[in-house]
Amino acid sequence: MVDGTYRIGGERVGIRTTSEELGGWVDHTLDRYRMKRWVYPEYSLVVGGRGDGGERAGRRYHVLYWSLTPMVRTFDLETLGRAFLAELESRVLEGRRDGVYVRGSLVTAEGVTGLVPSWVVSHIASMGRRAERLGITLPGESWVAVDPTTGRVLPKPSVLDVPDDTLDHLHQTARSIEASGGDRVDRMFVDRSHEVDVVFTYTEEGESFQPVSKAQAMHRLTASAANIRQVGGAALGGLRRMVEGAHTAALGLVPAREMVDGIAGVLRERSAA
Amino acid sequence: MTAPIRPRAREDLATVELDGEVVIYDEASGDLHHLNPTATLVFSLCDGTATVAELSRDIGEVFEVPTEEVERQVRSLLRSFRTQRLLVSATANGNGKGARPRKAGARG
Repeated sequence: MVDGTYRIGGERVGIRTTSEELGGWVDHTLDRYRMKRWVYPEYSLVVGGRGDGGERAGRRYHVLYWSLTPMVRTFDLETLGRAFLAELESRVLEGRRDGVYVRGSLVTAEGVTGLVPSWVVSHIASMGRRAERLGITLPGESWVAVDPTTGRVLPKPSVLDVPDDTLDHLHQTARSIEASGGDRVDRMFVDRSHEVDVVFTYTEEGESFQPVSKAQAMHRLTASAANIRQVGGAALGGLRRMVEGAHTAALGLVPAREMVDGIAGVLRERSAA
Repeated sequence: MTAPIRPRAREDLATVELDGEVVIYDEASGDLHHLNPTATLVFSLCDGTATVAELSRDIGEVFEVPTEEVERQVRSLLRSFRTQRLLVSATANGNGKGARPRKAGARG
């Protein structure tokens, strides 16, 4: 077990890993943020088969936890590292003005892109590879940047002060740990501009996967924006453009299997439309 | 005698209307609101030109509903708008005095 404390976004953040090598990468990456004072680990990077379990169906998941909540389960260590970096970036969104930062994640299937509330991802990921079998690519990020002028989802420029070789170093570290080679990167990271075809919106009323009003979807999106105060009214323009061009569907609290099947169904339906 | 109030929406609110429902962001307070179609209609008529009775009559005529019935709902919505600070206060609005001349007919 390796752990360390770092000051990120004005807060002390404890991070632990179950792997010396991965701990070395974390320390190298966050060197400029390191602190001496120890705090209880908030994030845990658990390398499959080393310590806290992760065994499932004969294969070893690597898991990123926030506190006790599994955020990302993956067979690929690079995916785990990138998801971890994305999570750290999300701690410094509030002052940003280069986009509207919305708590949501992109899922894709059959060329159709959906935006779901972030909590949905760990919920449906709990069904193992069912999402993948249904053709859904899950995201590795829990926030998206929306362009206020076009309403498209954009790659998020990094604001963390990390070394230029962070991703190369991660790649080498992952290969050294996974001597037999890991999987390909199995989560989606936004590295190009995306138009959102379907906006899934959490609702307490109404039936899941049925259409919901665009204004309701926009209201939920706006409420989840981290930097609405910085972007101000212009944020509404961007989110309007996003929902205007998208199909908007309701999501309620339904079992994980029903959730993943329902999302796949809506995306497939839009692909056929 | 007090002049009747002519409700007027605050002009500094950021609003977006989509399919007859409005989303409002109040940059001053950071509050966010979503109005259903009925509330959106009433809100859109709050331009400082009409009294509550006039608003109600206009809506009643368009939807063929008795004015008294409409007025109860309009007053309830206006109370809610005031609570949410979406309207120019009666004092700031001059309590009807000096309000802009009224446009004819209901919009929306």
